[in-house]
Amino acid sequence: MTSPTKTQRQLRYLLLGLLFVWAFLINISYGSVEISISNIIESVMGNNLQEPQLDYIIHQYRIPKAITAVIVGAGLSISGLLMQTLFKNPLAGPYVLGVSSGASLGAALYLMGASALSAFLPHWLMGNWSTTIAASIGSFTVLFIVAAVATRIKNTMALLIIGLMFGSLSSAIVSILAFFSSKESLQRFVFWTYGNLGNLRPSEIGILGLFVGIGSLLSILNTNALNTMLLGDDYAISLGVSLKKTHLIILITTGLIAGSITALVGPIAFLGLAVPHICRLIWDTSNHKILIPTCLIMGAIFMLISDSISQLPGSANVLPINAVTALFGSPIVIWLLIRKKQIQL
Amino acid sequence: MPLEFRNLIIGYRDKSKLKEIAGPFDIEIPEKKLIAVIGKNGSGKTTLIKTIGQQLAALKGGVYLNEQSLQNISNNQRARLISFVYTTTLSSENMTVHELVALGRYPFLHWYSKPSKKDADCIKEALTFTALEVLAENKIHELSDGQKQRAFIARALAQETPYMVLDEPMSHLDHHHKAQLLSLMKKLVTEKNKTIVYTTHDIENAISHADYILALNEGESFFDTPKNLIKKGVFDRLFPKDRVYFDSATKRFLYHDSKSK
Repeated sequence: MTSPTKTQRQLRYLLLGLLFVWAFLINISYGSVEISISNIIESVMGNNLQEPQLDYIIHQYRIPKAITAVIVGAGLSISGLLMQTLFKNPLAGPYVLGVSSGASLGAALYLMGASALSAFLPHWLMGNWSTTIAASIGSFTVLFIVAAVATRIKNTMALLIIGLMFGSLSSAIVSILAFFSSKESLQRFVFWTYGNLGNLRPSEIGILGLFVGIGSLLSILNTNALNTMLLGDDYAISLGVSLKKTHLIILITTGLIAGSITALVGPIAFLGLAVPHICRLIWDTSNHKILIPTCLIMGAIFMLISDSISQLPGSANVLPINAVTALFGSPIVIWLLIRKKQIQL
Repeated sequence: MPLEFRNLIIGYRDKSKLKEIAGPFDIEIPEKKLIAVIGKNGSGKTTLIKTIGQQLAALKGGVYLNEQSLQNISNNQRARLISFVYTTTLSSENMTVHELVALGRYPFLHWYSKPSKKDADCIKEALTFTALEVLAENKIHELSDGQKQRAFIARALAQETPYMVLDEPMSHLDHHHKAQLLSLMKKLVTEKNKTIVYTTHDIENAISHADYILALNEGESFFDTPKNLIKKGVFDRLFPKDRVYFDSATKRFLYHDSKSK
């Protein structure tokens, strides 16, 4: 078994690029109204379509949603990759830090706790942004605690356990809240947990893009250090890597990405765990120089396709995106693993 | 550029308590030699290596290189002076031999910088020297134990450090591969001017191949050439069940376990 040659590599990147363009167009085309790809291309080129309402749908709804899908997919995959490398554990994902549990707790406290008190709370606190703000406060509180712990202890396994404990703690509090809350507020929280790509304002997409962009840039800049971490801590130290610094960069990058995505889009599961494995299997390598760009593009493709499926082409119903990513993603990973017969970080 | 242990006491810090394992050492490691560190389990071999690698802080004194305490130089500077081969398993073996050896160039890269011509030459040279060119595109998990160990040495070699420290490099190998590895280590000393410090359980092996031996036993330590250590009766005293003698027929120091006779 040898590594792919340079031309094989270029071919695969080209294929991924084409797949990305196809997934992007398909994603825009599917929805409650189906729009043909030629119409989409024409509209994007700036030509007015015969039916102006299609133009409106494309620019106001479909393109922002597709861009959100790209950012979310890329962001979750890259943070999943970072977590797997940091914890040297193939089961790690962007949510192991407990950051999204924090976001869920924040959203739950607001949607189920505070709404009960809404009569007594000032109006500005109950505005459109409130769920997002509550979830952000939740995720950044947890991120702050995790970062503070990380500067004190060297052992990454302890961090993993702390993250899991945050998860259990927050789901316990969420259950208690759910038990005592009204049907309506419980339903609002359940809908929030389904995830929603289509609800974001342009400013929110901008914030998400900024966080994921910074995170990706930091990962790319640390490619070499991430590769040394594959050798284990002893070797990384002997090569002059400052583990504390690198760990902190990885934690903050992941926290920012996973935290902002959960706060704005909801707790999208699975993708961040699965896509890095799919990328490793495609390339048969653990080299971050290849994995980082592949994860970014593969995550985006995966999210675009999942969202297209969730639109249930030909029907007016929409499935929760959170269910679709796992429903269609897990068989792919299982199939790839069975074919390869072994798993490596 | 001598490596020195100055008044060095090694051990662990357990909360506020200090647990001394060995020392104090006052040793200047001779350059361009093969130095074996021997001793039973728990005698401090690995602790010493971790202390040299600055993963453990010295309890007292320090490791000095070129008159500078290793504690006071940056991680990157240290990585350009001493390379290590550990016994730990990798987090991922899904990389090629070439990729593994290329990681040895990390101290010379900045952020995302691409490997230079010099880096490429170093990697190639390390692969040639360890006879791994044909396996360069193979994955680490496809290699035998002996090949793996050579790949790790190639990685350390690509780091271009004057000092190489190896923790139990021969522990998993059979006789044939042990011999092969030893001749590679000797070649590194004579042809590449490396100073190699390695730990081993195998006293016989250390006596017959190393230029110097650091013997550790329950806090005591002795450093000298194998010949002098035998003359002083160190082995007889430290490892009393083991006997070392000079076999005039093979002109080698041999060792036999009195229990097995």
